[in-house]
Amino acid sequence: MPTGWCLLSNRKSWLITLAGGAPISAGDPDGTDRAALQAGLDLALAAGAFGQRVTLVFAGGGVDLVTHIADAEDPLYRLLGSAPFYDIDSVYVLDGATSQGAFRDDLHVTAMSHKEWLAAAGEAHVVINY
Amino acid sequence: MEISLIIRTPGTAPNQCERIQDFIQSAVNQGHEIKQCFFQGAGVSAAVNNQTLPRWRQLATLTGAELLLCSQAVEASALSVPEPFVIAGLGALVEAAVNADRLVSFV
Repeated sequence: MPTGWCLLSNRKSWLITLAGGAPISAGDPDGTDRAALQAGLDLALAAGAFGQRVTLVFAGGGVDLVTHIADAEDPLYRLLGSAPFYDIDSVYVLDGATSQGAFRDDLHVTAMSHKEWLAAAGEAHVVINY
Repeated sequence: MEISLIIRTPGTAPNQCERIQDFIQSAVNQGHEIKQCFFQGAGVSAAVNNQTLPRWRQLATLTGAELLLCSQAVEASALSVPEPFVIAGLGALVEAAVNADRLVSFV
């Protein structure tokens, strides 16, 4: 039996939050761990590719990836732009981070309150923070 | 209960690696089953360093769990991969997460 079919037959909901993790020495000067953002985004896209329902939330240092002011040539920024091809049609930004500027217009970006985030975490089968 | 792990703890934090290994041992002692440990990002260095490797080998024998190193991380760090570790892609992690009762992430 093909693995992909197997996974589609066992579809779970995933909540992946990209915040850039804890600051590490290898991270950006602003303390964002870009390796964590990359790892989390890669996993989100892989889960989407295998037919999983992925809710992708940005917080902290991850919010830059969904704002207009980010560097559009940044590989991570561009990678995130491919999310709709992995059936991730909407991404969310935790409230409080929404004041950082207008969001990129190639993705459907929606604000999510902390209460909604907690509720989503309670309902998801797989919850991972990066 | 079937448990899979994502391990992103860097090898520069040996105490944290030891706690992960203790977690696995305790889970098995309590009758749980460890299906897979997926080492992602900086976690691959926690897998293959000389300090932690002997106990990973013991735990692999004890649990029968797959010990998988993220292919991207291995490629980026140009590590050689000792047994019983195996290189795998994120698809293996997704599959394990779907099939496990719990996915536990260590940072």
